[in-house]
Amino acid sequence: MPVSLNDFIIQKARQLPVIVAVDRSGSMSKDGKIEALNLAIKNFINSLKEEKSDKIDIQVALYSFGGKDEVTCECELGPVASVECKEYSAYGRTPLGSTLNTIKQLIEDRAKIPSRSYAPTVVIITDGESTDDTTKALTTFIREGRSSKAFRIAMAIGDDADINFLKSFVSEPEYLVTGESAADIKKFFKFVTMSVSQRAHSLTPDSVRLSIQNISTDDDEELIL
Amino acid sequence: MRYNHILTSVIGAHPNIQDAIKYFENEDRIVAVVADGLGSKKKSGDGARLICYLIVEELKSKQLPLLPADIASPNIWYKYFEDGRMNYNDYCTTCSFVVIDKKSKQMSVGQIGDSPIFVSTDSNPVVEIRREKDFSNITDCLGSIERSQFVIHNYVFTSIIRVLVTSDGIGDELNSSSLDSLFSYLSAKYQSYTPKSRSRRFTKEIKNTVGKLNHDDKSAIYIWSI
Repeated sequence: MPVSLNDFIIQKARQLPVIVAVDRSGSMSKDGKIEALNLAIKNFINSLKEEKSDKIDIQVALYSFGGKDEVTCECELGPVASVECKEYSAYGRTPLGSTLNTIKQLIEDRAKIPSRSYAPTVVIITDGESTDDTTKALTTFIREGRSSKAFRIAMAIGDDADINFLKSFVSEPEYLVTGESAADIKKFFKFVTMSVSQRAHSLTPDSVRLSIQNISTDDDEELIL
Repeated sequence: MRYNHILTSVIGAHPNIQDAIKYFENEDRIVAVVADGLGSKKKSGDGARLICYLIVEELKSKQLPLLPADIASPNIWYKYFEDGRMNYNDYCTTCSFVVIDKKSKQMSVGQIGDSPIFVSTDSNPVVEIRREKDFSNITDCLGSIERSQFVIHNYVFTSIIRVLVTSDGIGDELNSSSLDSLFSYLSAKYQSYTPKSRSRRFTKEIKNTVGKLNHDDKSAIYIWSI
């Protein structure tokens, strides 16, 4: 016989999904970019693991794209505490269209991301033009279904990145960060970490306006690769 | 046939409560309204209180069953802000209500947005009335540019009615597989207290349980017949 209202409530914190897709195409091997990316993701995950909240359950999925137009999932969506980072090697192509389709499939899956969850944060980092068609995938992602409600953040590395694609992808113009160097990758992930933290501690995580203004540049901080 | 009720409205982590509730009962009617002002809108608590007032005033005498187009309150709500040259988008709120006509034994429930309603008539299991939403804090509401009408469900009952109207701060935390047991629990537990102390005890129980799960304000009205 139940003795308390506790017997009828879902005893789980609400999910805050964070989906990261990174470019591991051949061009990422230049200028220490892939090494910087590997380190930045590790730091990012470690920082998220330190976030403490009884009311928010940060869940992370890690994807990468490269090789022969491959999109791979290195880490299925799950609690951040159980995420283990893999070292990426850079080679191959940049299938951004397929990447969006793969992420969309995850976001639309109500078994994996229930409606009780907060809107996911989706992060894409790339240094090149897409090698597959992005038109339909992008339109569907940003205009249709649950993916259109996601917090969409991106980083364009270098002059070869497809700025127009990324401008269309992000949910607010200031959520597109441009950079040239390995240090910029680190700075970008600092922004992503802060944005997730900001949402995790907000009273209204789906209405937060993320700000890149407050991130120190760490100009004098050595990037250890 | 008599009716009991318990109600609560508990502030979440916001500085001001943005939920509103209103309960009206006379010989013929019961009207219960829960409105959940959107957390991201600075004056949504005022919007929630206004729609609660308008719904009670309109439905305490309106003939049942209801049709969505019959309900004038949403239009009056918008007009109130437009006439005052205020931006109604600052006052966004959901609204869910139940109206019971005691003599004809009819009940109507209405919903704009994601404040869930749970209904059981006679010996039927509890039905969950909620809009499928994309994510936790994203919902239809009064105050959006695209104006929504109430989604209405009408019921006739013979001897038993049990209905729970909540804001999503409570409704989203309830386990769908144990709603019948929840209703039995609430009816049995709160029946045993005096009418004066029921809501106070219910508020305390909400604070000690659901209160620890999310930042939202938490409001509910539970009505059951005896």
